[in-house]
Amino acid sequence: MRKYRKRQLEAMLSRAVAKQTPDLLAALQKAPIGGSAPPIPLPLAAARQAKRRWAQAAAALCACLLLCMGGGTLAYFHADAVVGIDVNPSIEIVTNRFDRVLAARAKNADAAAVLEGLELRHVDVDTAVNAVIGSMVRRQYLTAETNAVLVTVSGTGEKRRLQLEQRIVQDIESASGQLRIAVYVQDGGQDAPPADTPPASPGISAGKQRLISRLLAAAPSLDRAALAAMPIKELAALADELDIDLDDDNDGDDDDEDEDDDEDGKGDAGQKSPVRHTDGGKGANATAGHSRDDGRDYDDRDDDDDDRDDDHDRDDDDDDRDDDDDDRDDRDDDGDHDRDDDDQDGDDDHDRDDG
Amino acid sequence: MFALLLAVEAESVRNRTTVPPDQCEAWIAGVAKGDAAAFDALYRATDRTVYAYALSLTRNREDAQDVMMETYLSIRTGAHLYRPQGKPLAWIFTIARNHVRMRARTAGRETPLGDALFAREEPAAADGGEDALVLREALHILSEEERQVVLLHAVSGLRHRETAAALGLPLATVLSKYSRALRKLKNHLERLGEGD
Repeated sequence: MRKYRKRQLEAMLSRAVAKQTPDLLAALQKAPIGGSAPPIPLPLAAARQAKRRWAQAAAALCACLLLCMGGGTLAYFHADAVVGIDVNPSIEIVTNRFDRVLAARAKNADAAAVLEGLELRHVDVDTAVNAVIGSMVRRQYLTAETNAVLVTVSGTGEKRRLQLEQRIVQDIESASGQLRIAVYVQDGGQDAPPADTPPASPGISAGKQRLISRLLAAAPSLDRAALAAMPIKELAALADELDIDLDDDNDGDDDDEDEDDDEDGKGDAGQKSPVRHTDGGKGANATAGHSRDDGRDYDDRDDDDDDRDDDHDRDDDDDDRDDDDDDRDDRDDDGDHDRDDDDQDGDDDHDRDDG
Repeated sequence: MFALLLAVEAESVRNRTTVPPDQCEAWIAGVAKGDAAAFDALYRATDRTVYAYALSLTRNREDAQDVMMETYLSIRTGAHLYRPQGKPLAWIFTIARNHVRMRARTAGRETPLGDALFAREEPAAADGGEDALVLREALHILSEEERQVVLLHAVSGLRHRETAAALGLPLATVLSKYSRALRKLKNHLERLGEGD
């Protein structure tokens, strides 16, 4: 039996192939160059690599697109702020960071009636507020007599909360038509409404609940159930009586410090008002005697520099009150000034001290 | 005497030198410019390699010769398309492989490139003696990749590293396939001898 070694096999293969390798050079030299020669049929290595690079780039692009779409979708469906609108119907509108409505919750039966037939999901928050207020007016929840609305914005950052509050106030004013609506704005803070707060009533919104809790904190003798039954206008008046600043969430978070450090005067202006209230700039309104009309509504705070200057002037007169912790006392003094100014303007409002 | 013969054979294998890639690329560049001398030099340096590769794909002498012819014609007409990347043989092998595929399609055989591609196998050469028998058995029993690495190394004298680069395979794969293929061929031939 013949034994083979590897090198021997290599040599045998080499000889065999060498023997049958044809010499085509002469034929190739005679072959015409150009038309008759077969083209290179399939992609070459370079072309294949270029194709692969394109495929990789396309794949990377697709991945980026998917990532962006996924991130955008997540951002869209992430609840960013909750806008509470209380008249008697208590409604909460959950919005995303793009100010689109993710959900509209009816907190009581009246609110369910208001929301009936309204499809608010994914619409702009301005449109949603317009629709809600319009529905409240149509259903006689907002009338010449019952014309106070409590707006509570919670969640998101402080600056955005302020912007959102301003938009909501404007929306309510524009939607209420000839009715002179008194809009009370309460800062709901950055966190969602505390879950452990005992509900005063099954049909009560987080904003109203927050206001009631603060009233009870200031005056423990008050009855929670009785407060829950009171209309917003009276609750706001009570808050005013108890010197509760609706704009100050008092939750000890950074929001408070931010407001103190606010150098442009906007935060101070909002903070100095115990009850942030606007009547839509329409002068006397039906809430006379219950709320102070200090003319410091959002439009004024944002647009009227003179008002802010006045605020700063008052600050200067109050012996560096911005530097100490007696802001509340300072605001009292400022409030008095405001009310005096209003009286001088001939406003029909009765200030709290007079009352 | 037998030992001397083996030593000569081994030396002949070792002495086969391959053309440096840059030299090969220079010839291809010359071919692109219509330089006939460059084409002659390229042909002389690579003819056995190209034929061995074509044979490893087709397992048939006539088909391998046709593929070889078409490959060199394509090199003549398409040399200007070559982008120097230090792997001229890989480019030539791609052309050869594409021609094999085209022939398979033309013949109506749509099966993937592999052992079943060409029905006709190399017949035992009556005048080839033992060398032809070994080649025929190698083409018969080895897989396509095994045929490629064996013929390119044993016949063309490509180093394993060069074979790996030309075929786009990892060096370790080429080494193991080569070793396994030669062992398989050796065992097969020895069993064949026992049968005789």
